[in-house]
Amino acid sequence: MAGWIVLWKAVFLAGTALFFGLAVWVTARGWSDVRRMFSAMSPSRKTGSTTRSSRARP
Amino acid sequence: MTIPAEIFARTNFGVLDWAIVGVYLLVSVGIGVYARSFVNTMDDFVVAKRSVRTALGIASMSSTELGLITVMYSAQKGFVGGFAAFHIAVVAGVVTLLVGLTGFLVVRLRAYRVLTIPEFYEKRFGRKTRILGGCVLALAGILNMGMFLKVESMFIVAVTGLEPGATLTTVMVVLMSLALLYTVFGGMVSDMVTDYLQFVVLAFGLLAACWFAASEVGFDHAFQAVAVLKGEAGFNPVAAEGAFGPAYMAWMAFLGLVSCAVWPTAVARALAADSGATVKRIYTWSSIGFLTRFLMPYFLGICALVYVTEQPDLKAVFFPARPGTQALDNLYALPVFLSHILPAGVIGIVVAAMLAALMSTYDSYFLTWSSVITQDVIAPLTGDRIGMRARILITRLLMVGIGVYLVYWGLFYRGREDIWDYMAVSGAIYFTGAFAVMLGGLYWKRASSTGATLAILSGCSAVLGLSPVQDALGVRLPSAWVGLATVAASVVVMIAGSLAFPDRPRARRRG
Repeated sequence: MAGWIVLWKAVFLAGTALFFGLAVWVTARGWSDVRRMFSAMSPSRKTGSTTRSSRARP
Repeated sequence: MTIPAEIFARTNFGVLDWAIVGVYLLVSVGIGVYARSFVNTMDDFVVAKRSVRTALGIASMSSTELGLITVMYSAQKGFVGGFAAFHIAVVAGVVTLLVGLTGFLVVRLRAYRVLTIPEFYEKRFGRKTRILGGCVLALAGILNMGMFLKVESMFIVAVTGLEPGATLTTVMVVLMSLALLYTVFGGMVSDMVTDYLQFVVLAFGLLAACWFAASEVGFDHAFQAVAVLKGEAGFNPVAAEGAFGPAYMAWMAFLGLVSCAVWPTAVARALAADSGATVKRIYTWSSIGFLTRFLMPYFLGICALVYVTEQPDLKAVFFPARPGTQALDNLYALPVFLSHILPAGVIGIVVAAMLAALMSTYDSYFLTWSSVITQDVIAPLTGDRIGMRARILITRLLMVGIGVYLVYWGLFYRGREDIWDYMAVSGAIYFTGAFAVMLGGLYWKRASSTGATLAILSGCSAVLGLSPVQDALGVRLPSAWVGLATVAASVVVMIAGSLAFPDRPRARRRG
C-alpha cells in the first residue's frame, strides 16, 4: 500500500502543477486567439456565405 | 430521506458571495449575447468558421469537458472509491496524450471538413447512415446529459445554504434559463469566448478549492485517513475488495479514448481547429486537462469523505449507524464540505467557477445535440431544402426543447448507479457503435454502409447497462461488462457486415 500512496501523491502534485502552468499559459495566449477569431468572423457579414460547409474532400 | 436543513444552513456563503456570482453571471451572459452579432452562417454557428487556434482550443476543450457535473460525479467517485479512483484520471490523460501525438481518428476526421460526425457518415457511407447515426447520437447524447441539471442544482442548493426540498426545482429552472439564454443567441462563437472566460475562472477556482481542502484536512492526513477507512482498496484499483477491478479499468481506458476522440463535444474542437497540426497540439496539451478534470475533483471528494467522517453530525447523516436509516445522498458531500471550509468571498469565487463550469458544458452540449438533429436528421430528411436562417432557428428551438427535457428527466429518473456510471452507459449507446464506424470508415477501405448500420444499431444494446432497464428485465450485469461487450459486438458486426455486404464500387465514397 505504501507504494500506491507514493504514486498517487506524485500523480496529484505533478498533475496540479502542470495544470497550473497550462492555466497561466492559456490565460495569457487565449485572449489574442479570441481577437483573431473575431477578426476572422467579420468578413462573412460583408460577403455572405453558404449554408453548408465546404464539400472539399480530404 | 428528509434533508437536515441545519447542515446546509452552516454554509459560509453570504451576501458578498451572492454579489460575486451575480456579477460573473451578468458578464458571462452579456458576452454570449454580444457574440451573436458575429454569427452569420451555420459554419459560424457550429464551428466558428474553423478559425480556432491552439490556446483558445485548449481553453474551450478543457472547460467543456470539465463541467460542474464532472466535478460532482468525480467527487462522488473519490468519496466512494478513495485514491484508487485516480487510475481513471491517469488513463484519461495518457489516452488523450496518445491521441494528440498520433492524431488517431481526429486528424483524419477533420480532413473531411464536416460540421458533425454524422455528416462524416454520409460522406463515407451514404445519407441513410447519416440519418440513423444522427438519431442515435442525439438520443444518447440527450439521455447522457439527463442528470446534469439535477446534480448541479444539488450543488448550488447545498453550497449556498438554500432551503432544501422544493428549492431544488426552482434552482433547476433558473440555471437552465441562464444557460439557454446565451447559448441560443451565440452558438459556437459565444461558446468559444465564454469558454475562454470560464476556463480562466474555473482553472484558478478549482486550484484554490484544492488548496483550501488540503489545508483543512491536511494533505498527508487525507492519505492516512483513507488508509484507515478503506485499507488497500482505497489505493489499489485492482484490489479484490475494491470498487473497481481489471474489467472496470479496461472500460475506463476505452472511455478515455472515446471521451476525447469520438464524443462529439470534444471532437467539435477538432472540427473547429484551423489545421491538422493545431488539432494535434490541442489534444496533446489538453491531455493535462483530461487528467486534472478528474484528479482534482477526486481529491476534493476524498477530502470531503475525510471531513464528513470526522464530524459526528455529518457522519450521522452520510453514514447512519442505525440499520434501516437511509443515508443522505453522497452527491451532497462535496458542496457541504466546501460550504463549511471555504471563507466568505473565496466561496463566491469558487461557486462562480463552478457556474462557469456548468455554463461551458451546457452551451457546448446544447449546441452539439441540437445541431446534430438539425444538420443530420431534419435537413437530410427534407432534401436539404431548409435555408440557413431556418436551420439556426430550428437549432435554437431544439435547445429550448432539450432544456425542458432536462428539468423533467432530472426530477423523475430513478437509477441506482453512480452518476459517472450512468453517463458512461448512456453515452455508450452512441460511442460504442460510433467508434467502430469511425475506425472502419477512416482506416479500412472495405468498410461498407451495411457494416456501419449494423455497428450503430449494435451500440444501442449498451442501454442494458442502465439499472432501471436491468430491473425491468430482471437481470444484474456490471455496467463495465455491458460496455465492453457492446464495443466488441459493434466492431465484430462492422467487420462481418462489411465483408458480407460490401458497397458497390461506385457507391463507395472515400476510404
